Amino acid sequence: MHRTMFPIGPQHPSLKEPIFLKLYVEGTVIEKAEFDLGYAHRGVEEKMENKEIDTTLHAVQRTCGICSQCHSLAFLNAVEPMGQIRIPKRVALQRMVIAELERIHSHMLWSGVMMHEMGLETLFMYYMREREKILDVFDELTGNRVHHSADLIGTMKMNFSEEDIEMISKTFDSMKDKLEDYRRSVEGHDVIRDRCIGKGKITRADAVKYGLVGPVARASGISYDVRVNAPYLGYQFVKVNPVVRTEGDVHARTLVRLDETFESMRIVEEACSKIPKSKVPKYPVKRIFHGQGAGRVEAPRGENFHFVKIDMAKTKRVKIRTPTVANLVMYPKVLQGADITDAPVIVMSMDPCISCMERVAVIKKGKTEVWSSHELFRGKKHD
Amino acid sequence: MIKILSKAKRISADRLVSVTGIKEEPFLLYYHFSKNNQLKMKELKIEVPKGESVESLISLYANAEILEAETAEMFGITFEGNPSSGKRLFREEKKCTGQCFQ
Repeated sequence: MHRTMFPIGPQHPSLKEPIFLKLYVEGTVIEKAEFDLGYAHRGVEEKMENKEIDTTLHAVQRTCGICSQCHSLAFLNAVEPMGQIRIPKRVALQRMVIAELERIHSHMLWSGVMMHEMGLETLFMYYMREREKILDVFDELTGNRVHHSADLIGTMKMNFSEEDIEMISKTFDSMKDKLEDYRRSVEGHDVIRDRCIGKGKITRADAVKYGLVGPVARASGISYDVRVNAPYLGYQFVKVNPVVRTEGDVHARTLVRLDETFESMRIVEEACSKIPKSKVPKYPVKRIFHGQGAGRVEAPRGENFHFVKIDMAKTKRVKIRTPTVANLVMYPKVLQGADITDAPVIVMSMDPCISCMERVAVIKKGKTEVWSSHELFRGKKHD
Repeated sequence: MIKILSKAKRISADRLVSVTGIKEEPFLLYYHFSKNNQLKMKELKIEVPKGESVESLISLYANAEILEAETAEMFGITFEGNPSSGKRLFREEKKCTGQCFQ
């Protein structure tokens, strides 16, 4: 039997974003997996060199097409200590509310797409319908649905009013019962259980060895969450209960994300009740001329890291290490030995965000590997 | 080759968080480590003169593979002992040139 290379991507119906997975199969079993990157490069890091800090903050918020606030917070966590800027409680809590709302909408987007991968289109529609309510909340709070642009150095652009907080509470009330119902469906649905339980298993030892982060690590028994282990901003005022499971398979990763949605709702409600009556400081709070620092936050996909160097009030270097990069190294290993029909579900369970990860890869002019249509449809043969 | 394995071992961190390259003269490499889950990370700074290679941390931290590969491909730095160094992110020529930032 020939060892056949089976391509998935870079453009494929089962992928949200472009990544080229090469699966070397024997029969239907994946013997080896490789990935190629570089299909969504925008050169964000290079573009941020020698720019005003405010301009860089604006660009940083647009690194990812799903989660904007986590990049903004990681950047600010690196920059604000350089100027010894003390963040007032209102700003800390408001930033946290947006970050947690973002986690809810990101996990609901992921849940919908995951259900779509398994052929459950009705659940996909249900999750997307509920997610839309969170996007409407963002629209009301910040004026933007996805890229919120709510933060400034040391302050924010808006004060949440009593009406805003009431609107968040009403939105959650209209969602909770439905989300609990969907969760029960996901946990007990025979099709989902057959597709997920025991598939794409990552042991705790592997998760530690490869330095995995976020829900992927927490589904393998690692109780690591930046919000809990190294509280920043409003997480000093609101306790977070990390959701941890030990099974390490696709089902565990699904349930961790679903449970984190409820935990985030609780955090938002508690944070809203603690927002003080004072107003956010006027901008600009303080100018920063020199310094370098690193900041990290818990993004919906895991730990997000930013390194920033500032010289003459301009950003000399911004390095972004997204959670997808941290988990990427596990892909070949988790796919090895799996059935090829499980590959889309396993890949999706890692929640890859290629566009924010690929700010680094380069598409060069010159020699390229060109596949014929025959090779694309049939897969390349390798002896 | 610049040896950094023993320096990294002395930090005895739980996890390698990131590898950052800065195009200065000499070239600067920053390693960030997470230790005891504290918000403040441990930092290791290395100066890399032109033409020098750097010892890979892959034997200590498996996730160093992709983090070093990224730096190798963006800046043309060679990491000795990293099989992916210079061929992980480029999808055309599997060759490290470091043209994009330098």
